Amino acid sequence: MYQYSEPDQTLLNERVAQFRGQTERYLKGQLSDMQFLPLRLQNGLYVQRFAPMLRIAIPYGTLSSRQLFKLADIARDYDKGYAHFTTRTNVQLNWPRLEAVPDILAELASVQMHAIQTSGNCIRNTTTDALAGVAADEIEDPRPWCEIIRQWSTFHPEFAFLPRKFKIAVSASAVDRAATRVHDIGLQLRHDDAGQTCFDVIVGGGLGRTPLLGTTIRQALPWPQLLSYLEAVLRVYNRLGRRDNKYKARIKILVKETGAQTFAAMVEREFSRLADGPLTIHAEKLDELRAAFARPAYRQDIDARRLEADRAADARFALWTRHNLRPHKQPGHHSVIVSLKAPDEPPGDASVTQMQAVARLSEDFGFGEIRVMHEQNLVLPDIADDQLHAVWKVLDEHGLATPNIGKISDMICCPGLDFCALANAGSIGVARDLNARLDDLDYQYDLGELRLNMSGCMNGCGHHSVGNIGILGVDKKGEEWYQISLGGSSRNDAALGDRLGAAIARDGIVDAVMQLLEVYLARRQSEESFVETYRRIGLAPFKEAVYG
Amino acid sequence: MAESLIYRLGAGLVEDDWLTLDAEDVPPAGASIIVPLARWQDEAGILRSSAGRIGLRLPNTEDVEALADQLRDLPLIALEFPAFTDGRAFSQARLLREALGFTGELRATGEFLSDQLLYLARCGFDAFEPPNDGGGERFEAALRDFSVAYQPTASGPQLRPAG
Repeated sequence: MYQYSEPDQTLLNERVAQFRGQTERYLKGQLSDMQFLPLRLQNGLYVQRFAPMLRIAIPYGTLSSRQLFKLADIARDYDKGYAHFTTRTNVQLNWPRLEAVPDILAELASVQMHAIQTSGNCIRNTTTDALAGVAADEIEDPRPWCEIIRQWSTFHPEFAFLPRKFKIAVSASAVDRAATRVHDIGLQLRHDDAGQTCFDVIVGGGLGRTPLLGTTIRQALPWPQLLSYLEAVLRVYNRLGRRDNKYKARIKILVKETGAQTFAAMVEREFSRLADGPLTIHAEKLDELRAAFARPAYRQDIDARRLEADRAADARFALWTRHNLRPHKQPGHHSVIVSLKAPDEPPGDASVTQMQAVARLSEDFGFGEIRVMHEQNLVLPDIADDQLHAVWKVLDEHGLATPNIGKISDMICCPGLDFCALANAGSIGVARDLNARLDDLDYQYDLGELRLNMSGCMNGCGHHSVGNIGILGVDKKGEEWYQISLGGSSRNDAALGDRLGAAIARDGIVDAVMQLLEVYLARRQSEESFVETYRRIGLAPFKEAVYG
Repeated sequence: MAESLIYRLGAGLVEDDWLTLDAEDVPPAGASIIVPLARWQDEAGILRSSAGRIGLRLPNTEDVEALADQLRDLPLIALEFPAFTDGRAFSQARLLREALGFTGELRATGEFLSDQLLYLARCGFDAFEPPNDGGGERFEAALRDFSVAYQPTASGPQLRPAG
């Protein structure tokens, strides 16, 4: 992992002092609500339904055990004993006191963490594949690039007051696990014909009120120019992005209204001036960061027969290994996905003891490293096969071993009306009721890979637009209703879901989802997934089943 | 006209030796004046004959590169912040300094906050109109909020590089 240099730490300490001063000025009435708003937002502090909500950054989803232990301490000492992991791979506290926030930030700074730019109209946390550095199908580790982008985007003086928020994602494997086509900028790392690292730059994707897929505006950008090009895109956006209407202010609208080709030409013009300038990335910097993310010293003495023996002896373990492991670059190892999707818990929530258990496991078995997935699960990225059973036992004791990764109950879900001031409808309750109906795991396995995403409002924090099944909470005269969409995906086959029909009442939404699943089971051919069947047979049969 | 103050990098809060005029104000003979771009485009000849030094005030929607020939050699340009959340002038400032090579005074005017001062300075602003509510006394401290930065900047305070 990247370790802060002394100046990095100084910067963070200065930020804590600055925010402490701003909070004091606000509490003394020297800053108005309006003036404090963007200042606290750029420190991840929202004022929510019941209390402030503090969103803490987890840069590109990588955590050390020390950091996760600290998050657990903070959740215990300043909150109600749990935290919520988000689709931006950040973590949220729902009950901190405003007065305590400067102290929380100081605690975070002691482990090189912060809440910088986790909200507000600025460049947000850059995300990537949660399996970065360990995935078997990876071209190269994207984290050095993410760290380069993190540094460039942190307190960028020109881009702190953009028309709207700005999200960047990096994918460095054949399978896009970073949802690059639904980001303001998606970067796809590849190697050119000469074997040099380069990037395809996708611009103008996004979820929320007007979901759009991004367009590739630059192929094979040479790696030394990455930041110069990003700066060019951001400058065009900062100057020309709409500011008259909050709902039309994202870069996707600018790209759409300008036309991707014209927009690309504007960026090229700006880039031609910035290229080879002070933002040029040098080989020494890259080497230094690659060294920071060097692979750990893996054990070579792995007992190759142990995993099979453990499986044969323990059926529940065997089941879990089929669903919650991912292939690894290093022979004799797997990445373990820690399910935060137990059927009776809000998706993405982790308690203090759960966070501590995962942190301890990472120290005992996994080089002290943890990842956060945008699907709101955690990952222990480096577990040796002969220790999987020991890891599983601890996870199982803590309710973290639900064998459901990639299945319908591994749903993405925002906090919804239960916590969020923006939400129109509850999402956690629907998730719970749906899970109650899906309690037969064999039924879920029969359904296969199925991404169900749910958001409590149009802002789409639950990524409903790219769910194979998407559920969007809407408000109808003070009642909670739900709009279903089908066929979305955020992977290589990225697509936005199609609206099924009129919104469905709260007491009918679970039945409706079950009806959709029945149509799939009845109509699928051989190994077809839900989304493949949908693409073949279209909306009509599903519509017929739900609306009659 | 009431005397007003300006905060200049290096000099601190000093009496403003420039007079900001709107579309109608008659320029006092020989005075250093800041006029709106539109007025300058209409009355350049008249203004030149009566006033002393002339600076321009630009809306944040102007493309400074399209105006390069008119702007490059001016002694002063004032950029507007209609709201502190509207960050367009940050990009205008960097373009003026870095693309046009503008070396005159670059003044921030309008609704910016003292909390933005260091960002402004790092984008090339070197003079700041204090807000009416007297937040100007925080300027000095705000410039010291940070001593390090990740991004190289072409002008303004040179902070210690992080990363």
